[in-house]
Amino acid sequence: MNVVEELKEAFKEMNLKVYYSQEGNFFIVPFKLKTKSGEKEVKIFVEISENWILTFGLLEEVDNIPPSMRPHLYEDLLEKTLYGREIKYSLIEIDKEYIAAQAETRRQAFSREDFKVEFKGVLAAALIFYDEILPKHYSLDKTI
Amino acid sequence: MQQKDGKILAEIREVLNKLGLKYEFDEEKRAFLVEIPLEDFMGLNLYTKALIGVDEGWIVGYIPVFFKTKELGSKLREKLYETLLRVNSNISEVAFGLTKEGYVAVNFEIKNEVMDERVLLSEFMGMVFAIIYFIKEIFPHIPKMVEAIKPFYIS
Repeated sequence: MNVVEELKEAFKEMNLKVYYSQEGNFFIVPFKLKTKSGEKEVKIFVEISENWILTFGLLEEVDNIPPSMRPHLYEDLLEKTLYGREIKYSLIEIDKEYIAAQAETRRQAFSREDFKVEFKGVLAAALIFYDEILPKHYSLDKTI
Repeated sequence: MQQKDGKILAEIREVLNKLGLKYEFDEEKRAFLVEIPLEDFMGLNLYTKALIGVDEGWIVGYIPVFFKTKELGSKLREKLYETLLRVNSNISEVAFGLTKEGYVAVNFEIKNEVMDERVLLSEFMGMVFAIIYFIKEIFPHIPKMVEAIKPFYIS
């Protein structure tokens, strides 16, 4: 089974509806996260390159974050990246710049189970972002 | 757990020996402190130290950069954080992060179950390349950092 078929199987096992672009060789997975403040739809991208499978969720457009909030928010994202297991935050540019949660899986020695762990890691990082990180900074901004 | 850790620590030791790196083992922390020579940079002979150990089912690696970002002005600090987060999107398996004290660091994590020599080597080298990238491409743009970091990296 090639990697695209393996990924399709993994999504099926996770009961996820996905869109696949053959031209771009990536999947888009719309995912409804249950955050403390309600349901939040996050688009998860799964890109297949020569050596890696990159999974990332676009969490927030940078332009939507007030500039005064950014240094402390970025500081928190970098701290969580260092101390959290399987948590990696980044800034990704796709027409606009976004705060993203991401994970990588090696194509060589690919296993569905490893991929599912990485995929769930991105969802966990997204949840931490909405439930813990972002509210802290928005409340701080309001106080100022 | 201790027995399993012992097996994994032995595998890590084997990889470090193959790479011919100098290291010390800290019994208490159950971790290796590894000296890593880096390429010459601006005529300086640079080296850094990495910590590689085991922690509740994970193998963790960590290289700190001895510079407190909190000493930078807010604009420069934001620029540095932005750069590190952008770089994170382009590096695989390792990531730049910040310690609670505000030091920049690169780290990796490997689950015990997927640990093998090839994976460890790949993640370890990824961490070393990330630190070289940081020294060559990021810190020359932050004047205060060059002076602050020098004493920690010149052998």
